[in-house]
This record gives sequence, structure tokens and C-alpha cells, in this order.
Amino acid sequence: MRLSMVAVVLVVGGYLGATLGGGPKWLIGLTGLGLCGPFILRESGLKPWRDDYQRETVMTAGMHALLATIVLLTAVLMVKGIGGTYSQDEPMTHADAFPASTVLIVAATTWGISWLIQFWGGVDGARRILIIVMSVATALAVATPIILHIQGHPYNRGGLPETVVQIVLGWGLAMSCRRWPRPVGGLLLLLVCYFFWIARGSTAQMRDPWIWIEVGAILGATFLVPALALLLHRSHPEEDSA
Amino acid sequence: MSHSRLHNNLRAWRKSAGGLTQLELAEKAGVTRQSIISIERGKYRPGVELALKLARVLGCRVEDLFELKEEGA
Repeated sequence: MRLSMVAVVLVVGGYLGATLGGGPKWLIGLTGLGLCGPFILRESGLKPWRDDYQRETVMTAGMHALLATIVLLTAVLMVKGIGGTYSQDEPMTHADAFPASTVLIVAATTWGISWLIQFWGGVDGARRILIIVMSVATALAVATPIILHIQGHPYNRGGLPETVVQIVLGWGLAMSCRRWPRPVGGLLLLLVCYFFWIARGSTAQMRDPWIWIEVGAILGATFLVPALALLLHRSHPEEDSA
Repeated sequence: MSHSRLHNNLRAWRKSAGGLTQLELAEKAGVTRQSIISIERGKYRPGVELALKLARVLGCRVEDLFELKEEGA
């Protein structure tokens, strides 16, 4: 199995294990390992870079991730103030706390997406993003009933046909990117609007004002960036089909 | 004031060298196909070592593959 595949499994599996599955907190360490491991292995010479171009694109993507993180944290500090903001008389509420997971999600998604689009180009990069997203979605759809069964919770089978249709549609879009990039990009853009609408309803009850950054980062990474990459791509007829 | 721009003829030399595909050239030069695509599109400037390898594979000089073009005014 290729190193990048192992890294994706560690990043996604660690994050979902530590958050959705109610698993132990240390599982998030797997996410860190997946993010940093390949880079450390390659920079230390234990696993060679495929070539200089791969190294350059990984470095540039890292810089993009750093910039996104700095912009995010600067914006948060502009809103919340730097240190000494919290009074001892007023205990800090959940809404005051800025979650570290949001920083991790923004940094990791920016790094991953930037690298995929740079290295593989708009269409192939978008296709790979969608394949990763659909692999995770399919794994979750299969694992959810099993986890619920183990935990003794009931599983609502009524939503199963809808889930199957969504998964088949998602894989269809992922597999159609190369042949019909712009129509697939347009459909993805509609999906982004639909998911934002769904997220708006489900987050309305939450008191966490920062949840929208996570929602935006995740939806942006999974559907908006691939949609824009597909819609804005320029065809290169001179490119070999090899 | 003029400035120079790096122009490459990699695609033309690849076609003239027996019509190598990007993948074949990449394998002969020991790099990924994405590197060749990006060089041909002008998105990536290869290092000296890769430029020399490409010239060797295509049987030409580095100057044949890459040239600085002055852009004026």
C-alpha cells in the first residue's frame, strides 16, 4: 500500500475514531502521525521523495496551510482579543473556547487539498479528493450500523435507501469527473449549497459559534474546491492520455 | 525595462525523439509524469539535475530544451 494511502487512512480514521465513535482521545494522535509521518520519513531520507516536483508541491502546500492557519488564528484573536480577556468572575463558557480541532481541520485540509490540486492538476486532483471523500462516506455508512449495534443503540433502517442513493450518486460523480468535468463541477456546486442548507438547520440548535468554521472547512475541502477546480479547469489537448 | 522569461521546448523535443509519451519520458528520466506535464505547461522549473537528465534522454543540449526569452518594454 502506498504511503499516501496509509496517511489518508490514519488522518481520517484517527479523527473519526476520536470524535464520532466516542473512542479514546489518543486516537487523534493517529491523525497527527498521518499528517506528519510521510513528511518526516521523506525529509529524513528513510523514504525517498518520488521526485523534486513532489517535494516542491508538498512544501508549497505546507506554506498554504501555514498561511490559512495564521489568517484563521489572527481573525479569532481579532474577535476574542489577546490574553487577559477572560475575567475570573465570569467563567469561560463553551462558546468562548476556540477548539483546537478547528485549527487542525483547517491546516490539514488546506495542506491536503493544495497538494492534490497542485500535483495532480485541477481535474485529477478533484477526482482524487472525491474518491477519498466517497471512500470515507462508504466506510462510515457500513461502520455506523455495526458501531451502533455494538454500543446497543437502535439503528434506523428507514434512511438506508437514501444513504445508498447518495453513495451511488457520489461515486458516479467521482468517476465522471474526467469525462464531464464542468457538468460534474456544476452538480458539486449545487451539492455544496444543499449541504450548507442542511448544516444550517442542524447547527441552528448548537451554541458553538465556531462550528461554522469547521463546517466551512469540511464542505469547502470536500465539495467546493473540487467543484471550482472542475469548473475553472482549462483543457490541455496537448496532454498525453497515458 | 525588459525582463526575461524561461521558455521550454520540451514537448517539441519529446515528439521529435520518436514520439515519446509523457509517461515514457518520465520513466526514462526517473521522475513522475506530473513533473513532465508541469514542465511542459511552464508551471514548474526543473533543477539542473533534471534538466541534464531530460537533455540526455532526448539527445539534445539543455539550451535546446530551455531558453531565456527577453520580454520588452
